[in-house]
Order: sequence, then structure tokens, then C-alpha cells
Amino acid sequence: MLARGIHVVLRSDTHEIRKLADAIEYLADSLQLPPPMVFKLNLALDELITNTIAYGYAERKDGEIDIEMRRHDDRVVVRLIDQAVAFDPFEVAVADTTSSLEDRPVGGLGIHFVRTLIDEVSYSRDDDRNVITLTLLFPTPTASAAADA
Amino acid sequence: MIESDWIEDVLVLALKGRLDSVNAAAVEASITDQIKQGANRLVLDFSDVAYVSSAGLRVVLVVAKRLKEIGGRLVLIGLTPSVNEVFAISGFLQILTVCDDRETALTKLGG
Repeated sequence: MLARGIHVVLRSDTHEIRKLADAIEYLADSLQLPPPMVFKLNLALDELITNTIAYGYAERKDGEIDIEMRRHDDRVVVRLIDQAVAFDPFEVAVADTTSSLEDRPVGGLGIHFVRTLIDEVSYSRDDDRNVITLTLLFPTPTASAAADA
Repeated sequence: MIESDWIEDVLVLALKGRLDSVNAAAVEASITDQIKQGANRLVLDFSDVAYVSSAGLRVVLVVAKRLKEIGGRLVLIGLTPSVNEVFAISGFLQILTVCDDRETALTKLGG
């Protein structure tokens, strides 16, 4: 029997990012996610959680980040919940990806990755919790049939 | 984590594993240390790097800027497809020099 979803709780400690990678690997195996989806989920969740640990919880190590990943017919839906200070990551300015090496600002790319790689993103403040929902669609049947051919 | 190899006066640094928020600071310190000690023509080899997050890209950008300031040069090699995608969506492929292999990189750096 294959799992349809997974629930993981991470502590607000950067080293927990590796535990996230393990959880996504497990989900990928049991839900048979294609490698490009695994890559996108890994990177998007890493960036959001790294932000929450560094800024939301301000390096406090006793915070928690709750992650639920669930497979639906044609999509994977991930909910990230924390009790850090209210912060909507999708309100940050669009990253500069075009200026010269000298002028290119250092940082700000994490949320750009999330916006670029994930099909639907949303944020809500629910009582004292930040709730981020990410939806990633499976490749369309035609596209995956072509890839399998 | 980092294997280093001098080829004449070009320093080739082969990174291993993941480059993310867990180890980015340590990798940055190690590379900037080499630059302080005089390395100014650098090849970063990503052949054995399966995963790079924005924390890892930050390191590459800091190193590239530093080398530019001191008149040095940086070439990246061995980007795997998913790592290449991360560099592409960051717009880094327009500001960095990327080659296929070590030989091409060394020719480019005149080593």
C-alpha cells in the first residue's frame, strides 16, 4: 500500500533541512514522483523553511515547522505551518536577475525560485500561524508519455 | 567537502554533495581564504554536486564578485542538469563563465 501523503515536523534549526530532503525522497519513492518534481519540491521547501528559520524564528532553535505533503490526482499539495512572526514571503520584491556581476545584489533568490518552480502559491495568517500552500502539478499525460517513449 | 588541486597557477576546487544553507558559510569561508592566500584564477567543479540552493548560489556570487574586484577570474564546470537549472533561473549564466570540462576551463584561464 503506497502512502498518499506524509507529515513531518522540523525544528527551527538549519540542519533540519537535510531531514526535509530525506522526507521528500521518501515521498518521491512512495508516490512515484518524477525527478523534476522532486527537485522542485526540494528547492522550494528548502528556501521557504530556511527563511522561516533565519528570519521568522530569528535563529531561535525551539520553533517548529509543520509540513504536510499530499498527493491528489494530478498534483502534490504541500502545506507549511509555523508559529513565527507574521510574514508573507510572496510580498517580497521581485529578484534582480539581469544586472551585471558588479551590480547584482547578493541574496533574494530563494523566493524567486519558489515563484518560478511552483505552479500555485498562497499565504495566509491563521490566528498566530503562518500557512503557506504550494501546489505542484504532475506533468501532463502527453508530456510524460512523450518523456517515457 | 572541497578537494583542491593546483594546476600551474589555476586553483581547481571540486565541491562535493550538497551546497545549501547547512554548509554555505563554511564553503564560502574556505574559498575566500584561498583567495586571500593569493588564488586569483579559480575553477569551481560542480560535477559531484547534486543540489544547490540560493544559499549556495550566494557563495558563488560572492566569490565571483571578489575575484572581479581583484582582477581575478572564475570558471564553473560540471553543472549537472538540475544545478544548471538553478543557475539559469537565477540569471547567473549571463554573468558567470561556464565550461563543460576542466581542460576547456584551463584553456580559458590561460593556465
